[in-house]
Amino acid sequence: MNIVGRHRAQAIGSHIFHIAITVGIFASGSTIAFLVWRAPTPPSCVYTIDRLPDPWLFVIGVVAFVIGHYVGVVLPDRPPKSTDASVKAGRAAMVLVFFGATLVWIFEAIGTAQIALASGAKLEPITYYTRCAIYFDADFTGGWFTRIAIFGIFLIAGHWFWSDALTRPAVKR
Amino acid sequence: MLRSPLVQLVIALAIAFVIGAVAGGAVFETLTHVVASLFVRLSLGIAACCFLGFLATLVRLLRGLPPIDLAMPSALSPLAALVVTIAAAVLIATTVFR
Repeated sequence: MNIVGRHRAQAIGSHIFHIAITVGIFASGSTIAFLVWRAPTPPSCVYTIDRLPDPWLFVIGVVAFVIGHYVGVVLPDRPPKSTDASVKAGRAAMVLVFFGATLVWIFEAIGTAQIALASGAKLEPITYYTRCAIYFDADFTGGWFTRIAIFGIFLIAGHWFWSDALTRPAVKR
Repeated sequence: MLRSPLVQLVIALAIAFVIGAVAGGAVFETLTHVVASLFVRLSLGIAACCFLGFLATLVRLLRGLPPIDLAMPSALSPLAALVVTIAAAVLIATTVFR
């Protein structure tokens, strides 16, 4: 395969990788959320030592992190040349990310204090709901969606935060 | 003495964190009549840091200013980054999820 063909194959592979991971995380997260929503009774998600921490989830995360890095080596990203609109859209996305993170941490503070709502229910920290989703997934599907979600998230983390894209010589387009 | 953008950001985040934990905790207690525990204050401190990031990015975007070039150090070892990541994951897995 000549160099043009190899670059084209790498670009296609990179696109498939990004689409597959995005779809995988979305499918896993929405499925777990659906399971929690459809639960017949309010779940008891109190921490029990026999279920979490699960060392295999940790191993999956580490392995995915390393794979994410090497996917970036084998299939280096070749993003199209940025336009003025795309740069502005990217910066606007960061504004929204910071705003969303602010709301999330305020909710976490309220949940940590376990403040009671007018209905009598108590708010819980975000980790409580995360644990709840993991418990339900383990009961309904054997925990496969949890494993897929963790694999996908850590794959992206390794791909983004352990990237050698900044030090790699620029590829002529 | 003019500090680098990265150092200025770290200082600003530290100040925002303290203000969020102290003043945010006081507002929290006033509004909810619940004592703000250490972890509540930590969450409020992080929320203040995120709000600072929100304000900074929004203001620079609206004014047409370029993004802040933090000039992150590029000589960090990937192995060191991996060790730090694993340590953080262990910390989260063994403490937060309990």
